[in-house]
Amino acid sequence: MMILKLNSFLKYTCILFVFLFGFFSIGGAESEEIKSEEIKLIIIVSSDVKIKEIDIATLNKIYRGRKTLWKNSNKISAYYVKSGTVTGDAFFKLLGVTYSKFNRYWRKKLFSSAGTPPSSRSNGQSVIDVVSKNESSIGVIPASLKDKIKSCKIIKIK
Amino acid sequence: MNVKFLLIAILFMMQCSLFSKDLHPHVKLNGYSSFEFEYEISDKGDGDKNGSFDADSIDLVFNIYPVNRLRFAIDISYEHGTATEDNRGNVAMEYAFGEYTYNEYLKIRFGKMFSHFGIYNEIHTAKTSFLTFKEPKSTNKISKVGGGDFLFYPRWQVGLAVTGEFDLADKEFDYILQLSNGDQGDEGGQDTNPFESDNNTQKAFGGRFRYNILEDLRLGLSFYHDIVEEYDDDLDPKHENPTGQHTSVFSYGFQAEYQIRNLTFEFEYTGGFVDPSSGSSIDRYGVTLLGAYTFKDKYTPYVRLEYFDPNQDVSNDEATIFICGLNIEVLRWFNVKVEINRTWSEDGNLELNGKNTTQFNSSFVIGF
Repeated sequence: MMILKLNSFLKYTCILFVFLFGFFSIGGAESEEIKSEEIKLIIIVSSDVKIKEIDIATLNKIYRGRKTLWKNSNKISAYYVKSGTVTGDAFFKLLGVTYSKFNRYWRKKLFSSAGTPPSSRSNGQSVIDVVSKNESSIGVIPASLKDKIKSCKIIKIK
Repeated sequence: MNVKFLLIAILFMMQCSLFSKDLHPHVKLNGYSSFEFEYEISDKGDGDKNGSFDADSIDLVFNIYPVNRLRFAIDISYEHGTATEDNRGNVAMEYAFGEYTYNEYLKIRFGKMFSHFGIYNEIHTAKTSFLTFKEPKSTNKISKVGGGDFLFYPRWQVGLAVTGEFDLADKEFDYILQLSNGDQGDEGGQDTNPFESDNNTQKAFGGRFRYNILEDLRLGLSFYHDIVEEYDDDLDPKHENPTGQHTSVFSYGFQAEYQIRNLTFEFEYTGGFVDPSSGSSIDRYGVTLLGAYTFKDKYTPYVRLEYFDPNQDVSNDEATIFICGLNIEVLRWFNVKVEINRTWSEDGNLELNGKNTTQFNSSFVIGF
Protein backbone atom coordinates (compact mmCIF):
# COMPACT_ATOMS: atom_id res chain seq x y z
CA MET A 1 0.00 0.00 0.00
CA MET A 2 1.22 3.43 -0.86
CA ILE A 3 2.02 5.50 2.19
CA LEU A 4 2.45 9.18 1.43
CA LYS A 5 4.44 11.27 3.84
CA LEU A 6 6.67 14.28 3.54
CA ASN A 7 8.68 12.94 0.60
CA SER A 8 5.47 12.54 -1.37
CA PHE A 9 4.45 16.02 -0.38
CA LEU A 10 7.69 17.30 -1.88
CA LYS A 11 7.16 15.13 -4.94
CA TYR A 12 3.79 16.66 -5.63
CA THR A 13 5.09 20.11 -4.89
CA CYS A 14 7.65 19.55 -7.63
CA ILE A 15 4.92 18.35 -10.01
CA LEU A 16 2.95 21.47 -9.26
CA PHE A 17 5.85 23.74 -10.10
CA VAL A 18 6.78 21.78 -13.24
CA PHE A 19 3.17 22.00 -14.36
CA LEU A 20 3.05 25.74 -13.83
CA PHE A 21 6.41 26.54 -15.35
CA GLY A 22 5.67 24.28 -18.31
CA PHE A 23 2.39 25.95 -18.85
CA PHE A 24 3.92 29.36 -18.40
CA SER A 25 6.64 28.74 -20.99
CA ILE A 26 4.31 27.14 -23.55
CA GLY A 27 1.49 29.61 -23.19
CA GLY A 28 3.64 32.66 -22.57
CA ALA A 29 2.76 35.40 -20.18
CA GLU A 30 -0.44 37.18 -20.99
CA SER A 31 -0.10 40.91 -21.03
CA GLU A 32 -2.29 42.61 -18.47
CA GLU A 33 -2.06 45.97 -20.15
CA ILE A 34 -5.44 47.44 -20.82
CA LYS A 35 -5.92 48.21 -24.45
CA SER A 36 -7.99 51.33 -24.45
CA GLU A 37 -7.97 54.67 -26.09
CA GLU A 38 -6.31 57.39 -24.08
CA ILE A 39 -9.08 59.57 -22.75
CA LYS A 40 -8.98 62.17 -20.06
CA LEU A 41 -10.98 61.47 -16.94
CA ILE A 42 -12.31 63.84 -14.34
CA ILE A 43 -13.48 63.21 -10.78
CA ILE A 44 -16.83 64.51 -9.64
CA VAL A 45 -18.35 64.63 -6.16
CA SER A 46 -21.79 65.55 -4.89
CA SER A 47 -22.18 69.17 -3.84
CA ASP A 48 -22.13 68.38 -0.09
CA VAL A 49 -18.62 66.90 -0.24
CA LYS A 50 -16.16 69.51 1.04
CA ILE A 51 -13.00 68.55 -0.78
CA LYS A 52 -11.36 70.29 -3.71
CA GLU A 53 -8.78 67.75 -4.75
CA ILE A 54 -7.91 64.10 -4.34
CA ASP A 55 -4.81 62.01 -4.97
CA ILE A 56 -4.75 58.68 -6.77
CA ALA A 57 -3.80 56.79 -3.60
CA THR A 58 -6.91 58.07 -1.82
CA LEU A 59 -9.04 57.35 -4.87
CA ASN A 60 -7.67 53.82 -4.86
CA LYS A 61 -8.55 53.40 -1.19
CA ILE A 62 -12.11 54.57 -1.83
CA TYR A 63 -12.66 52.18 -4.74
CA ARG A 64 -11.06 49.29 -2.83
CA GLY A 65 -13.29 49.93 0.19
CA ARG A 66 -10.38 50.84 2.43
CA LYS A 67 -11.70 54.36 2.95
CA THR A 68 -15.43 54.40 3.54
CA LEU A 69 -16.06 57.69 5.34
CA TRP A 70 -15.48 61.31 4.41
CA LYS A 71 -13.90 63.55 7.05
CA ASN A 72 -17.36 64.62 8.26
CA SER A 73 -18.16 60.90 8.89
CA ASN A 74 -20.60 60.61 6.01
CA LYS A 75 -20.43 57.28 4.21
CA ILE A 76 -18.81 57.46 0.78
CA SER A 77 -20.82 56.15 -2.17
CA ALA A 78 -18.50 55.53 -5.13
CA TYR A 79 -19.51 55.07 -8.77
CA TYR A 80 -17.65 54.31 -11.97
CA VAL A 81 -18.37 53.49 -15.60
CA LYS A 82 -18.34 49.71 -16.11
CA SER A 83 -15.35 47.94 -17.61
CA GLY A 84 -15.32 47.03 -21.27
CA THR A 85 -16.11 50.64 -22.17
CA VAL A 86 -13.43 53.16 -23.09
CA THR A 87 -14.15 55.18 -19.94
CA GLY A 88 -14.27 52.10 -17.74
CA ASP A 89 -10.96 50.76 -19.02
CA ALA A 90 -9.35 54.18 -18.60
CA PHE A 91 -10.67 54.28 -15.04
CA PHE A 92 -8.99 50.97 -14.16
CA LYS A 93 -5.81 52.19 -15.81
CA LEU A 94 -5.99 55.29 -13.63
CA LEU A 95 -6.26 53.08 -10.55
CA GLY A 96 -3.38 50.96 -11.83
CA VAL A 97 -5.30 47.70 -11.79
CA THR A 98 -6.96 45.43 -14.33
CA TYR A 99 -10.67 44.80 -14.11
CA SER A 100 -10.12 41.09 -13.52
CA LYS A 101 -7.85 41.80 -10.56
CA PHE A 102 -10.31 44.38 -9.22
CA ASN A 103 -13.13 41.86 -9.64
CA ARG A 104 -11.22 39.09 -7.86
CA TYR A 105 -10.40 41.45 -5.02
CA TRP A 106 -14.05 42.44 -4.53
CA ARG A 107 -15.41 38.90 -4.91
CA LYS A 108 -13.38 37.94 -1.87
CA LYS A 109 -13.98 41.11 0.09
CA LEU A 110 -17.72 41.26 -0.56
CA PHE A 111 -18.46 37.63 0.26
CA SER A 112 -16.18 37.57 3.29
CA SER A 113 -18.52 40.18 4.76
CA ALA A 114 -15.89 42.92 4.71
CA GLY A 115 -17.87 45.51 2.74
CA THR A 116 -19.58 46.28 -0.54
CA PRO A 117 -17.99 47.24 -3.87
CA PRO A 118 -18.50 50.56 -5.63
CA SER A 119 -21.38 50.64 -8.08
CA SER A 120 -20.88 50.62 -11.82
CA ARG A 121 -23.00 52.46 -14.35
CA SER A 122 -23.25 51.92 -18.09
CA ASN A 123 -21.96 55.36 -19.10
CA GLY A 124 -20.60 58.65 -17.85
CA GLN A 125 -23.95 60.44 -17.94
CA SER A 126 -25.43 57.83 -15.60
CA VAL A 127 -22.55 58.44 -13.19
CA ILE A 128 -23.23 62.19 -13.31
CA ASP A 129 -26.92 61.54 -12.63
CA VAL A 130 -26.33 59.27 -9.64
CA VAL A 131 -23.63 61.47 -8.10
CA SER A 132 -25.87 64.53 -8.52
CA LYS A 133 -28.75 62.74 -6.83
CA ASN A 134 -26.98 61.09 -3.89
CA GLU A 135 -25.20 62.82 -1.03
CA SER A 136 -21.57 62.01 -0.18
CA SER A 137 -20.91 60.40 -3.52
CA ILE A 138 -17.97 60.38 -5.87
CA GLY A 139 -17.65 59.31 -9.49
CA VAL A 140 -15.22 59.15 -12.37
CA ILE A 141 -16.34 60.33 -15.81
CA PRO A 142 -14.77 61.30 -19.15
CA ALA A 143 -13.71 64.94 -19.38
CA SER A 144 -15.81 65.27 -22.53
CA LEU A 145 -18.92 65.33 -20.31
CA LYS A 146 -17.71 68.34 -18.33
CA ASP A 147 -20.45 70.56 -19.77
CA LYS A 148 -23.19 68.18 -18.62
CA ILE A 149 -22.37 68.66 -14.95
CA LYS A 150 -24.92 70.79 -13.13
CA SER A 151 -25.73 69.55 -9.61
CA CYS A 152 -22.33 68.19 -8.63
CA LYS A 153 -18.79 69.50 -8.82
CA ILE A 154 -15.43 68.61 -10.31
CA ILE A 155 -12.43 68.08 -8.05
CA LYS A 156 -8.79 68.15 -9.08
CA ILE A 157 -6.58 65.09 -9.24
CA LYS A 158 -3.39 65.84 -7.26
CA MET B 1 -47.17 29.84 1.48
CA ASN B 2 -44.83 32.15 3.35
CA VAL B 3 -41.85 30.56 1.62
CA LYS B 4 -43.43 31.18 -1.78
CA PHE B 5 -44.10 34.78 -0.85
CA LEU B 6 -40.51 35.17 0.29
CA LEU B 7 -39.16 33.71 -2.94
CA ILE B 8 -41.37 35.95 -5.06
CA ALA B 9 -40.22 38.96 -3.06
CA ILE B 10 -36.59 37.94 -3.46
CA LEU B 11 -36.96 37.38 -7.20
CA PHE B 12 -38.62 40.77 -7.49
CA MET B 13 -35.77 42.39 -5.60
CA MET B 14 -33.19 40.58 -7.74
CA GLN B 15 -34.97 41.77 -10.86
CA CYS B 16 -34.90 45.31 -9.50
CA SER B 17 -31.21 45.02 -8.74
CA LEU B 18 -30.47 44.19 -12.37
CA PHE B 19 -31.78 47.59 -13.34
CA SER B 20 -30.99 49.75 -10.35
CA LYS B 21 -27.80 47.94 -9.23
CA ASP B 22 -28.66 48.83 -5.65
CA LEU B 23 -32.04 48.20 -4.08
CA HIS B 24 -31.73 51.58 -2.45
CA PRO B 25 -28.72 53.87 -1.83
CA HIS B 26 -28.57 52.36 1.67
CA VAL B 27 -29.40 48.73 0.82
CA LYS B 28 -27.28 46.48 -1.38
CA LEU B 29 -28.21 42.99 -2.48
CA ASN B 30 -25.66 40.50 -3.72
CA GLY B 31 -25.47 36.75 -3.68
CA TYR B 32 -24.02 33.58 -5.05
CA SER B 33 -25.09 30.13 -6.03
CA SER B 34 -23.50 26.83 -6.98
CA PHE B 35 -24.87 23.82 -8.80
CA GLU B 36 -22.68 20.76 -8.53
CA PHE B 37 -22.02 17.31 -9.91
CA GLU B 38 -19.95 14.77 -7.97
CA TYR B 39 -18.90 11.31 -9.06
CA GLU B 40 -16.77 8.78 -7.18
CA ILE B 41 -14.63 7.11 -9.80
CA SER B 42 -12.85 4.63 -7.54
CA ASP B 43 -14.48 1.52 -6.07
CA LYS B 44 -13.32 2.09 -2.51
CA GLY B 45 -14.31 5.70 -1.88
CA ASP B 46 -17.31 6.78 0.15
CA GLY B 47 -18.23 9.45 -2.38
CA ASP B 48 -21.18 9.47 -4.74
CA LYS B 49 -20.91 6.41 -6.99
CA ASN B 50 -24.17 7.25 -8.75
CA GLY B 51 -22.89 10.60 -9.95
CA SER B 52 -25.44 13.06 -8.59
CA PHE B 53 -26.48 16.59 -9.29
CA ASP B 54 -26.65 18.83 -6.25
CA ALA B 55 -28.47 22.15 -6.00
CA ASP B 56 -25.76 23.02 -3.52
CA SER B 57 -26.74 26.48 -2.40
CA ILE B 58 -28.08 29.90 -3.11
CA ASP B 59 -27.07 32.65 -0.75
CA LEU B 60 -28.55 36.12 -0.53
CA VAL B 61 -26.24 38.75 0.89
CA PHE B 62 -27.68 41.99 2.18
CA ASN B 63 -25.65 44.98 3.26
CA ILE B 64 -27.76 47.66 4.87
CA TYR B 65 -26.45 51.08 5.82
CA PRO B 66 -29.22 52.63 7.95
CA VAL B 67 -27.10 55.61 9.02
CA ASN B 68 -23.54 56.76 8.54
CA ARG B 69 -20.97 54.59 10.35
CA LEU B 70 -23.38 51.67 10.73
CA ARG B 71 -23.61 48.59 8.51
CA PHE B 72 -25.75 45.54 8.96
CA ALA B 73 -24.54 42.51 6.99
CA ILE B 74 -26.63 39.38 6.46
CA ASP B 75 -26.04 36.19 4.47
CA ILE B 76 -28.98 33.81 4.22
CA SER B 77 -28.23 30.44 2.72
CA TYR B 78 -30.65 27.96 1.12
CA GLU B 79 -28.89 24.64 0.71
CA HIS B 80 -29.66 21.52 -1.33
CA GLY B 81 -32.97 22.63 -2.81
CA THR B 82 -34.52 23.63 0.48
CA ALA B 83 -38.05 22.27 0.92
CA THR B 84 -39.03 22.50 4.58
CA GLU B 85 -42.36 20.71 4.05
CA ASP B 86 -40.43 17.62 3.01
CA ASN B 87 -37.65 18.14 5.53
CA ARG B 88 -35.12 18.49 2.72
CA GLY B 89 -32.14 20.78 2.58
CA ASN B 90 -31.73 23.55 5.07
CA VAL B 91 -31.87 27.29 5.56
CA ALA B 92 -29.07 28.90 7.49
CA MET B 93 -28.02 32.35 8.52
CA GLU B 94 -24.34 32.25 7.66
CA TYR B 95 -23.80 35.58 9.33
CA ALA B 96 -25.78 38.51 10.58
CA PHE B 97 -23.90 41.22 12.35
CA GLY B 98 -23.89 44.92 12.96
CA GLU B 99 -20.72 46.90 12.34
CA TYR B 100 -20.02 50.32 13.79
CA THR B 101 -17.20 52.19 12.04
CA TYR B 102 -15.37 54.50 14.42
CA ASN B 103 -12.80 55.02 11.68
CA GLU B 104 -10.97 52.79 9.18
CA TYR B 105 -8.64 51.64 11.92
CA LEU B 106 -11.37 50.53 14.27
CA LYS B 107 -14.70 48.91 13.50
CA ILE B 108 -16.74 47.05 16.07
CA ARG B 109 -18.89 44.07 15.10
CA PHE B 110 -21.53 42.22 17.07
CA GLY B 111 -23.58 39.20 16.06
CA LYS B 112 -23.01 35.94 14.24
CA MET B 113 -19.88 35.94 12.09
CA PHE B 114 -17.57 33.62 10.24
CA SER B 115 -14.40 32.75 12.12
CA HIS B 116 -11.77 34.87 10.42
CA PHE B 117 -8.93 32.39 10.26
CA GLY B 118 -6.67 31.65 7.31
CA ILE B 119 -7.67 32.14 3.69
CA TYR B 120 -10.83 30.13 3.23
CA ASN B 121 -13.15 30.00 6.20
CA GLU B 122 -14.81 33.35 5.63
CA ILE B 123 -15.47 32.52 1.96
CA HIS B 124 -16.01 28.77 2.20
CA THR B 125 -19.70 29.06 1.29
CA ALA B 126 -19.04 31.49 -1.58
CA LYS B 127 -17.66 29.23 -4.28
CA THR B 128 -17.54 32.23 -6.61
CA SER B 129 -14.75 33.69 -4.46
CA PHE B 130 -12.19 30.97 -5.06
CA LEU B 131 -10.90 28.83 -7.90
CA THR B 132 -11.42 25.28 -6.70
CA PHE B 133 -14.55 23.15 -6.34
CA LYS B 134 -14.43 23.15 -2.53
CA GLU B 135 -12.38 24.73 0.22
CA PRO B 136 -9.34 22.73 1.42
CA LYS B 137 -10.10 19.93 3.84
CA SER B 138 -6.64 19.78 5.37
CA THR B 139 -6.73 23.30 6.79
CA ASN B 140 -10.46 24.01 7.00
CA LYS B 141 -12.83 21.03 7.06
CA ILE B 142 -10.55 18.55 8.82
CA SER B 143 -13.41 16.37 10.06
CA LYS B 144 -13.51 15.03 6.46
CA VAL B 145 -9.91 13.82 6.64
CA GLY B 146 -9.80 12.32 10.10
CA GLY B 147 -9.59 15.47 12.19
CA GLY B 148 -12.32 14.36 14.62
CA ASP B 149 -15.00 16.47 16.26
CA PHE B 150 -12.87 19.54 16.89
CA LEU B 151 -12.04 21.52 13.82
CA PHE B 152 -9.07 23.84 14.13
CA TYR B 153 -11.71 26.49 14.89
CA PRO B 154 -15.50 26.61 14.67
CA ARG B 155 -16.64 27.84 11.28
CA TRP B 156 -19.04 30.38 12.81
CA GLN B 157 -19.02 32.29 16.06
CA VAL B 158 -21.37 34.56 17.96
CA GLY B 159 -19.83 37.41 19.86
CA LEU B 160 -17.92 40.61 19.45
CA ALA B 161 -15.13 41.56 17.10
CA VAL B 162 -12.90 44.51 16.42
CA THR B 163 -11.46 44.95 12.97
CA GLY B 164 -9.72 47.55 10.88
CA GLU B 165 -7.49 48.17 7.90
CA PHE B 166 -4.84 50.78 7.26
CA ASP B 167 -1.45 51.33 5.68
CA LEU B 168 1.64 50.31 7.59
CA ALA B 169 4.89 51.53 6.03
CA ASP B 170 2.89 52.22 2.85
CA LYS B 171 1.65 48.62 2.67
CA GLU B 172 -1.86 47.40 3.34
CA PHE B 173 -2.52 45.88 6.74
CA ASP B 174 -5.72 44.51 8.24
CA TYR B 175 -6.65 42.78 11.45
CA ILE B 176 -9.61 41.22 13.22
CA LEU B 177 -9.97 40.01 16.80
CA GLN B 178 -12.99 37.93 17.85
CA LEU B 179 -14.41 37.09 21.27
CA SER B 180 -17.19 34.51 21.21
CA ASN B 181 -19.01 31.61 22.84
CA GLY B 182 -16.78 29.33 20.81
CA ASP B 183 -17.14 25.59 20.54
CA GLN B 184 -19.51 23.70 22.81
CA GLY B 185 -17.46 20.54 23.03
CA ASP B 186 -19.62 18.37 20.82
CA GLU B 187 -19.69 19.56 17.24
CA GLY B 188 -22.91 18.74 15.45
CA GLY B 189 -24.70 17.47 18.55
CA GLN B 190 -24.65 20.42 20.88
CA ASP B 191 -27.10 20.50 23.69
CA THR B 192 -26.53 24.20 23.84
CA ASN B 193 -27.01 26.38 20.79
CA PRO B 194 -23.66 28.16 20.66
CA PHE B 195 -25.30 31.05 18.84
CA GLU B 196 -27.70 31.56 21.73
CA SER B 197 -25.92 30.65 24.95
CA ASP B 198 -22.59 29.40 26.16
CA ASN B 199 -22.29 26.20 28.16
CA ASN B 200 -19.29 27.44 30.08
CA THR B 201 -17.77 30.65 31.41
CA GLN B 202 -14.74 30.47 29.15
CA LYS B 203 -14.91 32.57 26.01
CA ALA B 204 -13.13 31.74 22.79
CA PHE B 205 -10.62 34.24 21.50
CA GLY B 206 -9.16 34.36 18.03
CA GLY B 207 -7.91 36.67 15.38
CA ARG B 208 -6.01 37.25 12.21
CA PHE B 209 -3.43 39.78 10.98
CA ARG B 210 -2.65 40.24 7.29
CA TYR B 211 0.05 42.37 5.72
CA ASN B 212 0.84 43.03 2.07
CA ILE B 213 4.58 42.74 2.31
CA LEU B 214 4.71 43.34 -1.45
CA GLU B 215 1.93 44.72 -3.61
CA ASP B 216 1.14 41.21 -4.82
CA LEU B 217 2.18 39.20 -1.78
CA ARG B 218 -0.02 39.08 1.30
CA LEU B 219 1.07 37.24 4.42
CA GLY B 220 -1.20 36.39 7.32
CA LEU B 221 -1.18 34.97 10.82
CA SER B 222 -4.22 33.52 12.57
CA PHE B 223 -4.94 32.02 15.97
CA TYR B 224 -7.83 30.57 17.96
CA HIS B 225 -8.11 29.46 21.57
CA ASP B 226 -10.98 28.01 23.56
CA ILE B 227 -11.59 25.89 26.64
CA VAL B 228 -14.60 23.61 26.34
CA GLU B 229 -16.63 21.45 28.69
CA GLU B 230 -16.13 17.68 28.82
CA TYR B 231 -18.96 15.14 29.04
CA ASP B 232 -18.97 11.45 29.82
CA ASP B 233 -20.28 9.81 26.65
CA ASP B 234 -21.14 6.54 28.46
CA LEU B 235 -22.86 7.91 31.56
CA ASP B 236 -24.31 11.02 29.96
CA PRO B 237 -24.94 10.40 26.25
CA LYS B 238 -27.21 13.45 25.99
CA HIS B 239 -24.49 15.68 27.42
CA GLU B 240 -26.71 17.17 30.10
CA ASN B 241 -24.20 17.27 32.94
CA PRO B 242 -20.65 18.38 32.24
CA THR B 243 -18.00 16.53 34.24
CA GLY B 244 -16.40 19.77 35.35
CA GLN B 245 -13.26 18.89 33.41
CA HIS B 246 -12.13 20.90 30.41
CA THR B 247 -10.45 20.43 27.07
CA SER B 248 -8.19 23.14 25.76
CA VAL B 249 -8.14 23.87 22.02
CA PHE B 250 -5.49 26.02 20.43
CA SER B 251 -4.83 26.54 16.73
CA TYR B 252 -2.53 28.83 14.80
CA GLY B 253 -1.97 29.40 11.14
CA PHE B 254 0.27 31.04 8.60
CA GLN B 255 -0.87 31.97 5.13
CA ALA B 256 0.64 33.46 1.99
CA GLU B 257 -1.24 34.65 -1.09
CA TYR B 258 0.77 35.69 -4.11
CA GLN B 259 -0.55 37.01 -7.38
CA ILE B 260 1.80 38.24 -10.03
CA ARG B 261 0.66 38.78 -13.57
CA ASN B 262 -1.43 35.72 -14.33
CA LEU B 263 0.10 33.45 -11.74
CA THR B 264 -1.57 32.70 -8.43
CA PHE B 265 0.00 30.90 -5.48
CA GLU B 266 -1.50 30.16 -2.12
CA PHE B 267 0.13 28.50 0.83
CA GLU B 268 -1.52 27.79 4.14
CA TYR B 269 -0.27 26.00 7.24
CA THR B 270 -2.57 25.39 10.19
CA GLY B 271 -1.49 23.56 13.30
CA GLY B 272 -2.48 23.24 16.92
CA PHE B 273 -3.58 20.93 19.67
CA VAL B 274 -6.60 19.54 21.46
CA ASP B 275 -5.65 18.92 25.08
CA PRO B 276 -8.22 16.99 27.15
CA SER B 277 -8.07 16.85 30.96
CA SER B 278 -7.06 13.19 30.83
CA GLY B 279 -4.91 11.49 28.26
CA SER B 280 -2.33 13.06 26.06
CA SER B 281 -2.65 16.15 23.95
CA ILE B 282 -3.41 15.63 20.25
CA ASP B 283 -1.11 17.68 18.06
CA ARG B 284 -2.24 18.02 14.47
CA TYR B 285 -1.44 20.11 11.43
CA GLY B 286 -2.49 20.61 7.83
CA VAL B 287 -0.83 22.15 4.81
CA THR B 288 -2.30 23.43 1.56
CA LEU B 289 -0.45 24.60 -1.52
CA LEU B 290 -2.20 25.91 -4.63
CA GLY B 291 -0.83 27.08 -7.94
CA ALA B 292 -2.81 28.47 -10.87
CA TYR B 293 -2.28 30.30 -14.12
CA THR B 294 -4.92 32.41 -15.84
CA PHE B 295 -4.83 32.92 -19.57
CA LYS B 296 -7.04 35.00 -21.80
CA ASP B 297 -8.60 36.31 -18.55
CA LYS B 298 -10.89 33.32 -18.71
CA TYR B 299 -9.22 29.94 -18.30
CA THR B 300 -7.48 29.09 -15.05
CA PRO B 301 -6.00 25.61 -14.69
CA TYR B 302 -4.99 24.91 -11.12
CA VAL B 303 -3.42 22.26 -8.96
CA ARG B 304 -3.67 21.94 -5.21
CA LEU B 305 -1.86 19.69 -2.82
CA GLU B 306 -3.13 19.07 0.70
CA TYR B 307 -1.58 17.15 3.54
CA PHE B 308 -3.11 16.50 6.95
CA ASP B 309 -1.72 14.78 10.02
CA PRO B 310 -4.54 14.25 12.56
CA ASN B 311 -2.22 13.18 15.37
CA GLN B 312 1.53 13.58 15.26
CA ASP B 313 1.95 10.81 17.85
CA VAL B 314 0.30 8.30 15.51
CA SER B 315 2.48 7.27 12.60
CA ASN B 316 -0.06 5.85 10.16
CA ASP B 317 -3.00 8.27 10.06
CA GLU B 318 -2.01 10.89 7.50
CA ALA B 319 -4.06 11.91 4.46
CA THR B 320 -2.91 13.52 1.24
CA ILE B 321 -5.10 15.09 -1.43
CA PHE B 322 -4.07 16.13 -4.91
CA ILE B 323 -6.45 18.19 -7.00
CA CYS B 324 -6.11 19.13 -10.63
CA GLY B 325 -8.76 21.31 -12.19
CA LEU B 326 -9.86 24.02 -14.56
CA ASN B 327 -11.89 27.10 -13.75
CA ILE B 328 -13.49 28.82 -16.74
CA GLU B 329 -14.98 32.27 -16.39
CA VAL B 330 -17.70 31.90 -19.01
CA LEU B 331 -19.14 35.31 -18.26
CA ARG B 332 -18.37 37.82 -15.59
CA TRP B 333 -19.50 36.31 -12.29
CA PHE B 334 -20.34 32.99 -13.97
CA ASN B 335 -17.77 30.21 -13.69
CA VAL B 336 -17.59 26.55 -14.59
CA LYS B 337 -15.26 24.34 -12.56
CA VAL B 338 -14.06 20.87 -13.48
CA GLU B 339 -11.64 18.91 -11.33
CA ILE B 340 -10.21 15.54 -10.45
CA ASN B 341 -9.59 14.92 -6.80
CA ARG B 342 -7.29 12.09 -5.69
CA THR B 343 -7.09 11.20 -1.99
CA TRP B 344 -4.60 8.88 -0.32
CA SER B 345 -4.91 7.89 3.31
CA GLU B 346 -3.23 5.56 5.75
CA ASP B 347 -4.87 2.75 7.70
CA GLY B 348 -4.91 4.65 10.97
CA ASN B 349 -6.93 7.55 9.59
CA LEU B 350 -10.25 7.33 11.46
CA GLU B 351 -12.31 8.91 8.68
CA LEU B 352 -10.73 7.55 5.50
CA ASN B 353 -9.47 4.22 6.89
CA GLY B 354 -6.64 3.80 4.43
CA LYS B 355 -8.81 4.17 1.34
CA ASN B 356 -7.38 5.74 -1.77
CA THR B 357 -10.13 7.43 -3.73
CA THR B 358 -10.63 9.41 -6.90
CA GLN B 359 -13.51 11.80 -7.51
CA PHE B 360 -14.67 13.83 -10.45
CA ASN B 361 -16.27 17.11 -9.45
CA SER B 362 -17.84 19.85 -11.50
CA SER B 363 -19.93 22.91 -10.79
CA PHE B 364 -21.61 25.96 -12.23
CA VAL B 365 -21.04 28.95 -9.98
CA ILE B 366 -22.77 32.30 -10.14
CA GLY B 367 -22.19 35.51 -8.24
CA PHE B 368 -24.17 38.72 -8.50
